[in-house]
Amino acid sequence: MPDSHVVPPEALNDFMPVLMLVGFAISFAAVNIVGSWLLGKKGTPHPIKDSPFECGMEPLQEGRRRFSVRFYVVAMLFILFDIEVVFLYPWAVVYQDLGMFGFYEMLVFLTVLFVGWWYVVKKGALDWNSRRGPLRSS
Amino acid sequence: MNPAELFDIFGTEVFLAVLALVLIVTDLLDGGGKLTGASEKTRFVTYAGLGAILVSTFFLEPYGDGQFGQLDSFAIFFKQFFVATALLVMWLAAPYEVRFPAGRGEFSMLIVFATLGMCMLASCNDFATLFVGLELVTITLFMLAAFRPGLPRSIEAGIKFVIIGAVAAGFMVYGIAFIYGATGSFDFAVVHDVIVSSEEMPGALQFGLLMLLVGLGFKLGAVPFHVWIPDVYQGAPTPVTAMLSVGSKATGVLLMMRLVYSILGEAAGQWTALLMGLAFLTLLMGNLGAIPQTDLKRFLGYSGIAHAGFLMLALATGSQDSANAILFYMSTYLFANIAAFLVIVVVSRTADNAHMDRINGLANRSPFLALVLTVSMLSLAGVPPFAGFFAKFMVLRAAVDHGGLMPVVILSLVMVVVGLYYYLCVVKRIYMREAVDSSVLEMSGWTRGLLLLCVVVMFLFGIYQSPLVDFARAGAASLF
Repeated sequence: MPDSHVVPPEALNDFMPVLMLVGFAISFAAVNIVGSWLLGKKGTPHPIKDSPFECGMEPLQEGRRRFSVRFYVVAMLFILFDIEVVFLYPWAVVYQDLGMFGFYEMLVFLTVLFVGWWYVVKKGALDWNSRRGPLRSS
Repeated sequence: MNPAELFDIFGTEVFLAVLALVLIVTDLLDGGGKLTGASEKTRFVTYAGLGAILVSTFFLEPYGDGQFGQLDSFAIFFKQFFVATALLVMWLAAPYEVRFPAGRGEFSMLIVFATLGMCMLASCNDFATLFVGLELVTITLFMLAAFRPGLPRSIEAGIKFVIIGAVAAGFMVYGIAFIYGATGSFDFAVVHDVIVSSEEMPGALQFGLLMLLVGLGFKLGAVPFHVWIPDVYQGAPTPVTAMLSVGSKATGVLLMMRLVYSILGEAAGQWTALLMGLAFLTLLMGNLGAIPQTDLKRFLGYSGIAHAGFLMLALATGSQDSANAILFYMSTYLFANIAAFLVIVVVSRTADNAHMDRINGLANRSPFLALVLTVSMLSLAGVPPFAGFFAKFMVLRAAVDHGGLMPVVILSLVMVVVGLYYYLCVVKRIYMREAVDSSVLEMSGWTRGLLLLCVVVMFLFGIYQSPLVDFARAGAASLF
């Protein structure tokens, strides 16, 4: 273990531009909001004026819509199996250097993943049409 | 880290992970894809697996420091504690499980995964391992808290737990980032060296450690980070509440001990006032909050906060005696709580709340259950000859020896009396009130056996403490 681990305060100087950017972003937003509030004319509020589009079609429905919870399940599974590729690719690149240990390590990882995949398929999480889809308990 | 070293340190964790995978496969083969699956076979695999792992933990040899973890006698003590807790919780869950509309196999699996995370925390010596372990525990417990999707209260518990847990994890990561920034290392030993060698702790390091304390305070249920406890305890399914109140609290205790005794070490004196203040508030809040409760699980939640206050008092002391006292305290708390929650499971049966009226006149309906709950309450209150008395005694003795903690010691003595009042109110309901419904309470032989085991343990270690004290002392020895 190295002896001294106290990081000198100067080490943080590299991050000065980040701090300045934060300060700039905050002040830019503040100046704009306060400026338009000070300089702008305060008109009379009116429901038409407050609607998202003052001209054109009347809004038909809420901007936010609910969509099926199945999308979330699929998205979650996608991320899960995406991670697999993220691991497999660099592993394949350095496979020669890792030797047999790397091979078994990946085998363990894939076994765990395989059990997960089996679980997903068997519980019907990828079954889009049937009644027994994800999150249906009976 | 080479595989041999990994296995020497994280052997228990490897077994638990394998057990969880085997459980998934058993559940799939058995349930045939039905969400309602889960059967005798899954249950048998859970018990046998956890039992075998518990036995295997007694053969663990201290290994020392590794790259990501360590295995000292302290870690071994807590691994035994956590696996035993999981086994008792699964045992306790047997009469409850029928109420889960779905996912009984998943229930066992998630408990095993939570235990895996807890064991990982027991042997962490690195902030990265700490965070991964902690997330494994909390995320599985989020799911478990909301395990009764039909009950709004269970969903509420889950959501509240997720939000508070996320905030706590945020604090903790922020703190870890500052600690890393100030010391350039994740390693506990290096952070300890920096703290001890520097004349004055760098501001960033101090801030980071405080944020870490906040994160751990949430786990432990110390005031002012206790707000989630009553709601989550009340809403979560009873076996999960038992797991939260013992396992999850023990992870907080364990990490707090690592933080105070190992990371701060000789510098722990700087934190005495802070920990003392937290202990003061926690004792006050937990004990006074428990008085007006009418729901048994909520009541036990506040009682848990009060116990966290005692543990904080011991932590503030920072001596070796106090470390022994904490380990002893947790062991007795485990059995008292499991007994209380099991009585709640049996008494509330198909109903989905645990209102205190349900135990009115319990003495007439089932003298055995009445006795178990009474012993559990008296042990939690700290009445001799039960184990809880000796636990409180050890904490108070360590605190008195320290000398500088007198205000909190006096408060805690007052609070013991307050505690006696509300625990005895429960006992009064058992023996002096008329039963609301007088139907017969049925228990399986296994349930009866677990209740008997808890009572015997509470009684035995109340009159003959030395085996458990020696066990706790051996566990805490490696911290110093």
